Amino acid sequence: MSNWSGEIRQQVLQLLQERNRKEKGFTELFKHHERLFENWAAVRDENIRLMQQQGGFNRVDKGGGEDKDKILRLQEELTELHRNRGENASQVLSLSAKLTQKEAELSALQSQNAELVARIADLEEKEAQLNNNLHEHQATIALLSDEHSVLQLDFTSLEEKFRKVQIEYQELLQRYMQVKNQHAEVMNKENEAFMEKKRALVQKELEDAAAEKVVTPIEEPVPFGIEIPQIPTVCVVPKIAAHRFEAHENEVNAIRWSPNARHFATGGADRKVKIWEYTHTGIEQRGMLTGSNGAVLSIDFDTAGTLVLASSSDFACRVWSVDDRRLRISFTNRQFWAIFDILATCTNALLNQMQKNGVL
Amino acid sequence: MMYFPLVTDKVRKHFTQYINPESANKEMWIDFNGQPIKWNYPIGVWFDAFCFESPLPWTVTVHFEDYPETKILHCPSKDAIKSHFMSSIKEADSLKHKGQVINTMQDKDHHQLWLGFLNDKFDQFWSVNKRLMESTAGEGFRNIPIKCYLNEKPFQKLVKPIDDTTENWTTLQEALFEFDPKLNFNEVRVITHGIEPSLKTPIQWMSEHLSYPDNFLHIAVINTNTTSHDANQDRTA
Repeated sequence: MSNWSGEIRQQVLQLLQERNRKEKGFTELFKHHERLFENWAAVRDENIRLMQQQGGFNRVDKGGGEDKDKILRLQEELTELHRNRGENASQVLSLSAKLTQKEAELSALQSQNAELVARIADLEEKEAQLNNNLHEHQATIALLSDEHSVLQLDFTSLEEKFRKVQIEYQELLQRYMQVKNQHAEVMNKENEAFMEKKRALVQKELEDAAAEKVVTPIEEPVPFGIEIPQIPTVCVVPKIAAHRFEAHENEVNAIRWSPNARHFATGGADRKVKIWEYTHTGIEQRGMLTGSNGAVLSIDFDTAGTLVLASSSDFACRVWSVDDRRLRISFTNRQFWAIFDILATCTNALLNQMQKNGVL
Repeated sequence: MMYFPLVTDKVRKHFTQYINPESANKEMWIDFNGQPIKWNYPIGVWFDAFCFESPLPWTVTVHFEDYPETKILHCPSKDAIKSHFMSSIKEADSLKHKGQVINTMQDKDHHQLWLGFLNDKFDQFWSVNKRLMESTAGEGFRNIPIKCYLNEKPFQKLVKPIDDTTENWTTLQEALFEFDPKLNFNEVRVITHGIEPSLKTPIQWMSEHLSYPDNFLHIAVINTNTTSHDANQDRTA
């Protein structure tokens, strides 16, 4: 049944749809007609009702003028009553509005009142606290004033003591000064006497020396020569330089005249020793001695003027020969890294010794 | 589908305004072209059988006087229609299943069928009716409940869904031969529900799907030589 029921169903369905299509138009029409009919019936009924109503009114009209008057009067009364009611209602509204306003004001004032009471309480508290503070402060003030008076008394007593001590000190000072003066006088006297004696001695010696005319002093190697101070007779201070020239790149640390009074040597921080000649035209460089590894701090010639001895900051001393400007010997002495001053005597003696021993 | 008395309340109300007040209480009857319409036929069935060629809308005449006692039955009330409807269903079921299905149904099922039919509620009606349409697969009903309208007269015969000789499903054509062996299919139109199904449609299928709510197939056979309305009209409702 199922295999051909599909097509049969399709066929029948098509036929039914065809039929419906043909007959459909009428249903719409009938429905519409029905609606119109209903509306018409409703309107007709309404019409009848209204007619009846109107008929009823007409009948009432003819009924009586008296009734009309009564009705009018009653209507007037009614309107008046309505108006009164309206006025009363508006009055009631305004009064209730005022009432709410007053209540609001009252509540505001009450709240303000509460606030103020609270503030008063606060202030009273603060006042009590401040009073307490005040009492405490007063007590401390009393205490402090007592202490102050005590200290004042102490101070006055100490002042007195100090004055006394000062007076004593003055007295002692005066006495000391007196004693010192006495000492000084004594010393002066002694000095004068000594001086007198010495003068006398010297005078005597001079007289003796003048008389003898024999002088043969033997020079002895004295490392540290102690010069006897001579009495100065003429003092000349050079004011203007005869020549001014640049000798070294850096500082000039040492300078020494040669024994031949024409040459002199300079030593500087540039590690060089330069030999200059002083002629009638000016200053001329005659030679440069190198070999030092540090700044040259001190120079000396030997008595012949052929050798130069220089000390430097490199812990060494060096000896050059002037003529050929050759470094002869260098020696170090680590204990004394700078020999600042070499005296002529010392140098000469040293060099002579060295020559004797065949070192140079 | 409907019966006439179920839908003519409004008509009656409308017309009573215009007729003689004495006649207002009489029973209303309808006729078409002089022929009174029997109320116990479904409306569509009457149209297919007697007036299929007439133009739509189908114009009928309403009468209040001279009830034709001899030709049509009286319809006293709606219950008469209900009892007629239920008896049709029972008859159909006894043809289909020897009455077993309808006897297993309760009163409320019968009532549901009637209400579904009356109020046009498809689901309500068919929830009960499908039990009546059940058939053992491959065999169909015992007999097909079918009414054939030939020559303006209804005929009812036993029609088997499966041909005994050929072991096939009986077609519409073969079924109609039962009613009138001399039927010439070139001269007639076979109509049910306002449509003309193919003659090869199996009767079993038609009974299941194209029955009217009273579970009968109503097939109208209309003679096409004469388009006048007193010609043979077979209508299947």
